[in-house]
Amino acid sequence: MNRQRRQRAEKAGRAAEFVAANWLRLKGYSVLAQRQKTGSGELDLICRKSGMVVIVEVKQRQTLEDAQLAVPDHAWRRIGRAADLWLGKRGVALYDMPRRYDLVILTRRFKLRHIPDAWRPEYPLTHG
Amino acid sequence: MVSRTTTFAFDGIEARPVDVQVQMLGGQPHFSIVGLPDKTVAESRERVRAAFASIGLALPPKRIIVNLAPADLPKEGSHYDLAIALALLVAIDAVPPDALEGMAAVGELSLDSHLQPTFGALPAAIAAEAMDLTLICPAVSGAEASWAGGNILAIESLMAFINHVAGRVVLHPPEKGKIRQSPPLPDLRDVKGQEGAKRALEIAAAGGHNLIFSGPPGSGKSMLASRLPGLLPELSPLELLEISQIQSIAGLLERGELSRRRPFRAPHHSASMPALVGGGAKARPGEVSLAHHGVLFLDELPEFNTQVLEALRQPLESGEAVISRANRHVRYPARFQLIGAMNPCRCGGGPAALNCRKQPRCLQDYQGRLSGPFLDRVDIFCDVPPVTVADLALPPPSEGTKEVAARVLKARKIQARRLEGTEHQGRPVNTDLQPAHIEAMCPVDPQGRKLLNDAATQFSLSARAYYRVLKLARTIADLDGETSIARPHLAEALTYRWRDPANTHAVPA
Repeated sequence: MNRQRRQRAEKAGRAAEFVAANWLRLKGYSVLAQRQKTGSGELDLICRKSGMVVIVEVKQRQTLEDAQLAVPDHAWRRIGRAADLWLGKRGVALYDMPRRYDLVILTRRFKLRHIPDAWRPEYPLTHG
Repeated sequence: MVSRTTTFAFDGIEARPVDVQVQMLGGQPHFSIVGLPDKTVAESRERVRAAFASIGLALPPKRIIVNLAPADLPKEGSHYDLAIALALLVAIDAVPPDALEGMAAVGELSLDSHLQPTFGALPAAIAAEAMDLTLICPAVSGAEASWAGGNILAIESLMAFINHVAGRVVLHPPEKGKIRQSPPLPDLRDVKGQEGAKRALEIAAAGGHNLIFSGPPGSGKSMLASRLPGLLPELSPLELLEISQIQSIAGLLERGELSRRRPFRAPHHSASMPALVGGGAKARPGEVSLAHHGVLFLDELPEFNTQVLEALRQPLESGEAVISRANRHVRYPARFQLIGAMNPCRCGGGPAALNCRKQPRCLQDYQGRLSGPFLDRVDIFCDVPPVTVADLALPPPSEGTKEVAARVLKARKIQARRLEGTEHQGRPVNTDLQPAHIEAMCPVDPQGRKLLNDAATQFSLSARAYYRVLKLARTIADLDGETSIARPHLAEALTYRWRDPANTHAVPA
């Protein structure tokens, strides 16, 4: 992948996350953080709603169907581990809340769909 | 908060209470079952999740921990589903917290939240009744569980329970299964001739003694053995309950119907040790346990695998089958009456054997497959001679099953009365007389005592054989209505003892 394409992808990704974050705000979520990097992986959006932490993965593809299939299980597990690490550093109150993993999918034209509870860990993904 | 309910783990036919505890915590969402679940129990997670989804309930994104206490008892079987699902219903506030108070549950969930029948509903219901709990079980198992007499709530699906708790639907206690009317048994009148064998059969029926018929093919051994259940009295309520529990564990109770007839099990001679004694992946009861309080008929006895026959020695003596596993022992009751049928030798014995050039080796080899210790446990060894044409031409005998069964019942009543008030274990028949009681309950007159002692010396009877002869003589005396054992009774009992074929059946070379 050449440098130009990478930069374009980065920009598109930021735009998609920006749209997704605002969409979620409209739905009553408060966005705690955006684009967080941890030792285990990256988190797109970390939100809160009614006593629940919601970890959101944002995916943009040509069609909604493509976007929905764009997060394989191993990617989810990476997100799960990263979420545990990130929340662990933010204090017990946040860490001990119920935790949900959501997916927001977008097309290039910003047609958007929010899939709550898109994934659950098969085994406890914690850092000890 | 921990929500909990009770279910049962099966250990033999006993149901041990298992406390199902469900806790929901925050943090990484995950659903785990702890408390030594085997694969079936662990998979319960998926069934519960699917069943909840099918009635529009979702598990919250929390850490859900299901603990099956006591945690060190291995749990196997699919019947934990219902208890886990019900405790979860309380944990997610789908039903009020007091809905499960005084309740226990067994049942398997299907993906659409309907309940599947499981093995062991009856023992579970008995245990629940003993703990004063109401048992929630699948509707299909309701008829079986209500035999325990306790409170039963038989539900079709999870939704039925939710509606019942909410008061939208009232569930009525299920009705007991029926007492099955079995087809009539074959009559003893069909057997022509063979008076000696019939007498042996009558004695065996009266005292619960083990019996082996030996005779050439076609002499009527199997025919005689199949007439035995008709001679035996009906099961007492307590015996019926014990047998039904075993059948429930083995999954043999159809529609919760019970039968008062004594079990008659006739496994094929290719039966393996787990099939006969019990075992397999889940330590299921074997034929010896299914024949509890009834008859285990082994046709073509020497054709059975030697090791399998030797494995019968211990249940024959102790009245229970113990299946040993690395981490536990499972016990099933196995007080059965052994009836064997065999040919005296490979060529069949009888007239054919006279022409057999391999005699007497053939005879010795064939009978040698039955070990001494095994035969020592057989009280009656009865030769069944071939039937002659003259026998077949005879009119049907005057005595049929009805007349003989009446005598057997009378003798059994005498035995039961004698054992009343004593600390007797096992069936109330002479064969289960305990060593402590034998001397007191089997008074022998001096002539009889002399005969017995002489015979014991001459045939070098083992101590077990000595007492077995005494018990057999007791039964013969009971059939005669005598209180004390006399010389003729002992003489008859001694004739039924097994003797080495080398001495008795030898054909002149």
